[in-house]
This record gives sequence, structure tokens and C-alpha cells, in this order.
Amino acid sequence: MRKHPQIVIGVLLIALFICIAITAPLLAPNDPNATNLALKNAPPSAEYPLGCDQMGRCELSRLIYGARYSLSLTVPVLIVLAAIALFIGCYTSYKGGLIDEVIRLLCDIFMAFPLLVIAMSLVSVINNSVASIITAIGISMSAWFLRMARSYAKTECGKGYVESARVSGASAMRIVLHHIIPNVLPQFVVYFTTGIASAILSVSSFAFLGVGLIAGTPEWGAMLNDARNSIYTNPALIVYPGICLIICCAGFNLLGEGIRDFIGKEDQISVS
Amino acid sequence: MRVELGLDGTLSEQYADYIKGLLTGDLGISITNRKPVIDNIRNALPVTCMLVIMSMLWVAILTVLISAFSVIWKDKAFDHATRVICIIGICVPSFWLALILLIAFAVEIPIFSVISDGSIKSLILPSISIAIPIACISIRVLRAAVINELKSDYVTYAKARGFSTSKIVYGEVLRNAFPSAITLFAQYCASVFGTSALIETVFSIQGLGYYLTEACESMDVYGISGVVLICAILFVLFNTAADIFSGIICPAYRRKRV
Amino acid sequence: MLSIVGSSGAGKTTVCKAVMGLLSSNYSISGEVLYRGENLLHCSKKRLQAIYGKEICYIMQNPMTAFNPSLRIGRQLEKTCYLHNPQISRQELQLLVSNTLQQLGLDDLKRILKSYPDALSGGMLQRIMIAAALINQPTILVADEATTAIDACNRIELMQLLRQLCSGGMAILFVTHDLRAASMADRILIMNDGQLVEAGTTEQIFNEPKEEYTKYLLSACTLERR
Repeated sequence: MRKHPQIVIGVLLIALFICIAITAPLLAPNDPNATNLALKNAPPSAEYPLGCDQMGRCELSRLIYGARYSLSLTVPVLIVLAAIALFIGCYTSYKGGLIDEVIRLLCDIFMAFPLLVIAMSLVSVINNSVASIITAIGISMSAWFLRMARSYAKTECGKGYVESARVSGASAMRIVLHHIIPNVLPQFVVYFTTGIASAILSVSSFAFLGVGLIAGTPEWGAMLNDARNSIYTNPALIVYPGICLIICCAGFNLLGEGIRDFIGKEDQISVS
Repeated sequence: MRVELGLDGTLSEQYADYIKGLLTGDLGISITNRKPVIDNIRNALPVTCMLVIMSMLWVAILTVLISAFSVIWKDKAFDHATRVICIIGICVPSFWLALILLIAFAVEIPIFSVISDGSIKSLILPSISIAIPIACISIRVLRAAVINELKSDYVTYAKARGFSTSKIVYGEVLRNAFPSAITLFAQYCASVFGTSALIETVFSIQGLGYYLTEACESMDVYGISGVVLICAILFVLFNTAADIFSGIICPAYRRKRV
Repeated sequence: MLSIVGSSGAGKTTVCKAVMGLLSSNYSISGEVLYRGENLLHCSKKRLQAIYGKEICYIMQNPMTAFNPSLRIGRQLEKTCYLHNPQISRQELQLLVSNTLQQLGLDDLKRILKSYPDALSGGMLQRIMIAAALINQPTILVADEATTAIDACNRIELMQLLRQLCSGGMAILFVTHDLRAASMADRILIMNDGQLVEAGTTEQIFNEPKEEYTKYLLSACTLERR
């Protein structure tokens, strides 16, 4: 592990944000939604460590509560999606034939619509709620996961060892589970963790446009939207939420990077 | 008004009308300004196109240069620095970057104006803020693809014949590694049309994304579906172009697909 | 002509790669690789690039993966030649390429030069790789299992060609697992498990082998013949 500091840093950052999200009520010095117009754009003080926003709400408390939205809207959904997509993608890619074509077509169709566009149309057609956001992320991310799993698996299927496994009489399920998935996994995990990071960014960008979350929600993207008009008066309000977003995403990206290096190393050892 | 907007009749009739309209290039009439949606899009598209072209130029230049150098100087200071910057860069939300750039180069040092008027100069900041996160991803993708190619036998053989690393990277490897980066590039090209809403909101550019947010806020279904349709068409176009282009520069890729 | 013989995993390819300076940095190489009094392990990169491919040429074990999949064979051969003779003219280059290929018994020139590597068979690519080595008229040829992918008839022809080149003044390091193929060399080194087992002239090795492992290889060889 010492050789792969990225994993350690990544895990620590993710753990940190999860802890913050869970213990938000204990950590936050003030109520994130309590407005006090007398404290509008107040500078940092003992009671309000990062000062107050344009509505006189405690900036630090809002940042702490923001972790809840970013993590809870993305991580659980994506873990389930990725596992299913990995298996289906590898299996159909190995099997080929009609199902494979259908899956490919479905992926292509869903991928043709940018995530933001899907979310915005869902929100305006169904209703402006968190469920719309999750649905949008689910639809578009699973298409991407499937597509990646498929293309990684396709390259593996062309390699000699899959053929020799088939010749030695292994069943399709066995080949997929024991040969293709382990070889596809490192790339896929890297894609998955970066996928979480980009989903977190997407949620924030929805909130920034006021899609899916009600105005005034203590979400980092929404906070950026609220602070948009204070670029002259209080630029700090723009800096803080962005830094939170960056660090949170960096945690996932570092973890993915580290895992890839780690598994890549192991791969090399088994080859030589 | 219901008649004017084609809202009389059952849902299926409306849908049939809409599809009939699509075939003749008629995307319906916008509820907000009572103009045909196609005209609204036609007005909004040029700015967004310009924005996308400029950002993608940044991306292409940065990606090819930086990833090639970080491969040639693999595991040296430059490579490590790029790696760290790229990891951070991927995590940067483009709309936040846009706001920060605004604060830095329009408020603190007033080189650019806060509100974009659609000229090339006013699109520099928006295009950079779109380009940087994308470039960070594609640098990593291209670097990984090149390093993967570098492990292959033909590179060892080329080294044994006395080719220098930079000759191998630029002359032999890059074109084999390109397809993955090109596919990614095309997908980003297409998706930027959709996500341009973020940047266009920040800089008040009256482009496609801005139109989409407006349509969304006023529940203008025809407007939304018009934009969605355009995005999808662009996506298909860009992907096809990427496929053809990859085939031209990397014949091995073409044969792999057949 | 020197032959290195050993069963798979004996470290033959590693020796070749060490000679060619192709081992990655996680290997530590001790000793010297001397070429005309120069220790190649301590040469500058520039000097090495001038020597490898021009003076010392390498023939790889697996011809199927040794060529760039997206360049035509003709182009790759020309590039190899051009790299070490930048002043060569276009016609000379083409003539040289086609002559070398013909020398190796590849007659369907037009087709070969225009094809991509995956359209040709292993045996053909093997010969093309040898052509790519010969095209720069090296003084030393390092051939790692150069005859393995070729069928029996062509193998004999190729051996004769190598022999002929050898008498023309070229030094050849011929690596093989086949003691019979090695018998045409002047000297033979036997390797096992990364260690040098025995060294001697071809007569010595075949007629009075000293080490057990050599005897074992010889007996395996005669067994196969029966």
C-alpha cells in the first residue's frame, strides 16, 4: 500500500466526506437554512468560521450539509448500476448475436443524449424533484457503463487466452466470470470511480441550473448558483463550494487511479 | 390559443402531427415567444457552434502536445506534474472554473467583459473553461493508450532498429493510439452542445444551452424536444465522423471493426 | 557464427535483449556488451541509436506482432532503411527494398509491399523481418528463434542464406532451442535456467559433450530424429 499513496489518499478523502455527510448535524456550527439578513456577506468570525452568504446563512454549515447531497444521490445508485452493467456488458459481448446488437443499439441511443439534457427534459416533463435527477443519472450512466464494459470485453475476447479457454471446454458463464471479468475489471473500476466523480459533478451542475433541487438547498452547485451574483461583492462564496467539489471528486479519481496502478502491477507480476 | 399551438385534439393526434412536422423540418411552435422552434434554434446555434469549435481546438492542441511529451518524459517531473494537474483538472466543474475565470480576468484584472457579446474575444474565457476539464481527461486517455501501445512488440522492434523514442511515439505509436482519443473527443464535442447550458448561463451567452434552460423553465415541450433532437443528431454525426477519421489515420482500427 | 541453445525459459531471449539494450530498467545488467571495443551498456543514447539497426540488427521471436499494424510493409521497410541512410534517393530505396526481399525468396513483391502486416503469414513476416535487418547490411545479426515460424523447406534455405552471409563476413548470434539448427554454427553456447552450461566449438559439443545437460539435449535431439 505504501507504494500506492493514491489509494490511501483517495480512501481517506472518501471516508472523510462520508463521515462529514453522516455527522453533518453534529459538525455544523449553525443551522444551514437559518437566514439572518443582518449578517449578509458577513466576514469570518468565531461563530461563523467561513462567514455568511448573501442571505446571511452560515457558509460552513451549508458546505458540510452539501456533502450529503453529493454522495447520497450518486454513490449507492452507481454501485448497483455498475455491477449489473459489467456483467451484462461482458456476457453479451462474449455471446454476441442479437442481444448484443440490441444492447449496443440501446446504449447508442441513450448515449446520444447528454446527461444534462436528459435531466432537464425529465424535470420539465415529469416534475422538478430529486427522483428525476436520479433517474437521469441512472439512465445515462448505465448506458455508459454498459458500453465501456462491452468494449473492454470485446478486446479481451479477441485475445488468445479466451479462445484457448473455450477450446478447453469452459462454459460461457465460466469464461465470462473467470477470464473476461477479471481482466476487464481494472479498466472498468477506473472508469467506475471516475464515473462517480463525474456524476457528483453532474448533480452539482443540475443544481447550479436549478434542476431537480429547490432553490436554497445547501448543495454545492446550488450554492454556486446563489452566489453567482456576488462575483463583485463576495467572491469567496464562489471559491468554497468549488473547492469542496474538487476535493470530493479528487478522492474518487485518486482511488480509481491507485487501483489501476495496483492491479496493473499485479498483472505484470503474474505475466512474468 | 390552443388551436394556434396545435394543442387541440388528442395526445396521439398531437404526436402524429409532431412527427409529420419533423419530417418536413418543422419542430413545432415555441410556447414562450410563439416563434417556430426551428428558428429559435437557428438563432442560438451559431454562437454555440463557435464556442464548441474554439473549446475543441484548445482540447486538441493541449491533448496531443502534453500527452506526447508526458509519454516521452515518462516518470520524469513533467509527467508527474501533468498527472497531478490532470487529476485535479478532471474534478473541476466547468461552471465553477468559468466563475473563477470571470472573477480573475473580468473583475480583478478586467481584460474581458463579464457578459459575452458573441465575438471571438468574448468567447475565449468560456471556451477555456469548457476545454480544460475535457483536455485533462483526454490527456490521460491518450497517454494511457500510447503507453499501452508502447508495450507492444513492434515498438521493441523499432527500438532495436535504432528509432528514437520521439520518432516511435510520433511516427508509429500515436496513430495506433489515436482512435480511443478520437472517439472520446467526438463524444465530448457532441455533449458540449448539451452541457453548454452551464457555461452559457455563467457568461450570459444566448446560445443553444441557454435556450434549453429557458425552455425548461417555461415548460416549453416543443423547445426542449427540439434541442434534444439536435443534440442527438449532432452526437450521431460526430460519432460517425470519428469512426471514419479513425479508420483513415489508423487502418488497423478500420479492419478491427469489420 | 555463434549459437545459443537451451530449452524454453533458459534465458536466451533475455540475453538477446540485454545485447540489444532492450531490457526495461527493472533488470540490472552486470558485465559488458562489447562492440568493437565500445561497451554498449555505457554508450550515449545517440550512439546506440546509430549502432542498433545499422551495425547490429535484431530479428524478433514473434513476427506476427513485430510490425506496426497500421503501416504498410513497404513503408516500414523503407523507414528502417531511410533512418540509417537519410541521403538515399527514392529509386535506390525502392530498388534496395525489392532486391533484399527477392534475395529472401519473396517474389510477390507488389502485394507484399502494399499489405498491412496482418494480411501476411507468420513465415512471410519472419522473412520480411530478416529482410529489414539485412537491408542495412549489418555487421552483427542477432536472430532470436528466427527459423521457428518458417516451414521446413524454407528453413533450410534460410539457414543456407545465413551461412552464406556469415562467410561474407557478417557475425551472427543465432538463438534457438533446436540443437540441430545450431549445428551449422561455428561455436555453440548451451544455456539452462539462466546459467551458461557449456561452451565450445560445434565439433566439441556434438562429439565430446562434457556436461550432463548437454548430453541430455543431444540425446533428445537424436531421439526426435528416430
